[in-house]
Amino acid sequence: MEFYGYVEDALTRSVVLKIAALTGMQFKSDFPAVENGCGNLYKKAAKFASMARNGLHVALFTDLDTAECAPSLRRKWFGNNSIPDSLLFRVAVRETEAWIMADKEAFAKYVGISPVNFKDDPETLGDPKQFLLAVIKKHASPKLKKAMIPSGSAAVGPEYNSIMCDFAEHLWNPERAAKHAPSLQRTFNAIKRII
Amino acid sequence: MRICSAKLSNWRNFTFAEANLSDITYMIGPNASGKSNFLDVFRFLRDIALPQGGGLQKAIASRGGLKSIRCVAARRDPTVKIELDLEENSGENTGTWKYILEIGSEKGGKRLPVVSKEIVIKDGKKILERPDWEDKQDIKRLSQTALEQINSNKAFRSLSDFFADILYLHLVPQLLRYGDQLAVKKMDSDPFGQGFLERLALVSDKTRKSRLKRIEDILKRVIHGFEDIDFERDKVNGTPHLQMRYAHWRHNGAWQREDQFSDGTLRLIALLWTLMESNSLILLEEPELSLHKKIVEQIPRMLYDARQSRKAAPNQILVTTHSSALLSGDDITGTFLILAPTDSGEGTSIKSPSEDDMTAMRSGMSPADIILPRTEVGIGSLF
Repeated sequence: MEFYGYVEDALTRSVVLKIAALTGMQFKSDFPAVENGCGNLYKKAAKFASMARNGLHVALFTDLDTAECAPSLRRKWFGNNSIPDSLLFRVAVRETEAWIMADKEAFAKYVGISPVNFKDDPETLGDPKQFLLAVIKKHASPKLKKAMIPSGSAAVGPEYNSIMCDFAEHLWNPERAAKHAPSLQRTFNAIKRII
Repeated sequence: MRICSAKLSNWRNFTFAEANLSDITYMIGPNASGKSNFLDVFRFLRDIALPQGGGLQKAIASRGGLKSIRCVAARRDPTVKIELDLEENSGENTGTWKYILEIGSEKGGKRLPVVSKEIVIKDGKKILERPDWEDKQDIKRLSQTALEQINSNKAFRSLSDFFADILYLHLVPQLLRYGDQLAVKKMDSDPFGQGFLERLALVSDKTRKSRLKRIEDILKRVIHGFEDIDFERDKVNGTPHLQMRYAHWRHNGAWQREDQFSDGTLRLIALLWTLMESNSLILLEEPELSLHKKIVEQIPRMLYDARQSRKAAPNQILVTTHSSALLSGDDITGTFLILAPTDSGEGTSIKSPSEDDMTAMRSGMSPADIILPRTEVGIGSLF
């Protein structure tokens, strides 16, 4: 079975492709597609459900952000009705960045910062991206700061996404990360159940 | 008449490609995937069939010779082949047509391009097959197609006329606006819209009024504050002008001439005019350029409306795009063609949406959700 996959940003796409390669999950060619933010994904929730009810396999990956918990987010998106089995809806607590930082040693080495500055349980962070940026701002080399720290109205620096995606694609180990990120472990389990 | 399907061999970046066309066809692909090369097949046939200054030799020479037309990936089979299926369904004229053209090189000599095969089939009956005995008597005849020979195309004149009327449009607002001031040579059939105002001036008052009225109706829906559009001649030198009025705090609103229109507005007007004018196939290259997203989203609807509003026989529209806004509706009527590199990596293939893709779009997803990701190879990893 091949999934139509939709994710909310480029980093999540890199992460999902890595997870898919490990679990044997397959996407339609050139999917998952990157939507601009979870707002755009949310707007199409009913259509995704309708696709799944029409027999297609759909996989959605989004961030919990400030929502209370994944089940409440699921209710917000799809109402109280149960969603079709062929629709996979996975939520990163609270952001994909937490899944990345859960592979602590590798990530710390990649950005050239001592691992003691990162958390053992990044899913407890209220805003993982801001935490990450704060660590970079405080400890990283000037060159990396310039690339990753935002200025003006930007949310992240000019090379933030490409640097994070590069790590996710080449060095990030999802299985190691899953030991420190329960929502990532649950995602593994859910994918294994459905395929 | 309309084209139902096109088969190409060795044409530019297509080693082999087959595409079914409908009344409105959207061709979707990334930059440099061959969208314009596909459209060029139809421009090529137009250039051959043009009654003035047309012809096979000129059409090939203006493209830089046969070696530029031939697919780079082609090795063994050097002939270029075009095969079209057409149908006619206007009034009394009904029936099907097939046109096949193969072009190779002269053996020896200057190795000029020659017709190596040309076939016309009407309603399943072959009415032309070349080379024929006359070609064998006079080998020079093969430097021309039958389409361009008035003496020999009587039986399929309507096919030849259809090709000659094919219209390619890639409007450049600056050329439209400053056409008379820029010393740029105007090309045959004016693809970039330099002569738009002259074309407007040439039709009868009645036709012009009726078309502008229909354009006005369509524009009112998409441009905020737009009131009406009018044609006038300069009182001193007689130059044709368009003027437009927006709702305004002054009692009678404010009239603007075309040199004050925004690029997008000007492009949109010229686009709609063309849709109403042409009876044949219209090739639209990236109609989304310089338009606001909200207006781009309305383009499929405008194409549909403009086509529906014609009293004459419906025309056929082929659009190339890679705009997600243009494809974001769930009510887009038309056929979609996807351009993507072939699996072997040589040349480009044309695909249709799969059964699953169709199901997904019927579930309410837009072509932008289902088809565009296909054409974004490599972009995800760039950012």
